[in-house]
Amino acid sequence: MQPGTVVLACRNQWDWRLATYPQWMELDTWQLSKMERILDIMESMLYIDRWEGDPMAQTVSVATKGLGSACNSARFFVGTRRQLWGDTALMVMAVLASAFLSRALHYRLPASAAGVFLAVAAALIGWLFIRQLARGERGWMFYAAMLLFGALPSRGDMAFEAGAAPVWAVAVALLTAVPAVVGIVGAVRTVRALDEMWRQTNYRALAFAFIATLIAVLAQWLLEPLGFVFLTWWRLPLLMAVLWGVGMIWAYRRLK
Amino acid sequence: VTNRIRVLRAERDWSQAELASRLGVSRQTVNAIETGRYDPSLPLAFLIAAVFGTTIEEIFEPDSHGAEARSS
Repeated sequence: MQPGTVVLACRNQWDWRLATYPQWMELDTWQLSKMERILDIMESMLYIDRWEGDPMAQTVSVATKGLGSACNSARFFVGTRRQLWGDTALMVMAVLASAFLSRALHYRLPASAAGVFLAVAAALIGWLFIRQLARGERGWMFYAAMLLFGALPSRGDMAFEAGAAPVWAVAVALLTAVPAVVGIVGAVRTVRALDEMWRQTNYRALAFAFIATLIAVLAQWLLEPLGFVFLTWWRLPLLMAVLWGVGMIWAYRRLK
Repeated sequence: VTNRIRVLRAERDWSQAELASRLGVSRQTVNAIETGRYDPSLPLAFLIAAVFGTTIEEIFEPDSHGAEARSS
């Protein structure tokens, strides 16, 4: 991309790619199978993303992201008050499904293996959530919703690039931390609302995830000089969430 | 700790879900307690006893190790 280029109307990642690259073939070489790309899609469905070269455009971008974060936070607060965690999960899955649908309809490309896998996974999880909802069991639906919500981090760090944004834009960018705080508070409140067996299982799983993540971080620190870098900023929370799930299975099997 | 929850529940023709609803816990928790995979806390044990209209001693018994310790 040429310096100073302003990318407009980026409703999703493909539009941005299309605006950035002159060749359609670039879309084919884009590796959708990588989870990082999928997360980018999900993020860009909710936030207008990546304006470069123009301070005003960047400021607008940061403000928009802040607004998006505020909307997400409001949605979470409403979900908490009305006990609608399942709706949040379904909403995120709907975003995921619409992303793939958008890709299929707009560019008429065959769905990749990763797309099919994710669509099947989304359908399976969706069915599971609906079943849980019908049974009135709302506990661990929230965990999955949090996992998916955690996959939608904001890129507020863009505003911190030296001299690139005014002070108020930095303040707006800090709003992106609100969903994270709401998520933590929501998780704590949800765990506390569980019955004693599930609460105990969750505490054990969290302890397992925390310690295992700590070991992984230390391992990376030791292996980094050898060129092994496997924990990036978005893989770390994902790793913790996965380890939490593994810990849940482990703790449930070792009750008593 | 062994328990007679399954028997007491069957006598009343309650499902695990129904008992769970009366206790305010999940069905999985009732299942785990019945199968001996989870020992309930004292407050929950009292609640179980109250739901069945009996005492804790009538429902829960220490396992063989606990019984030996008590007799010695």
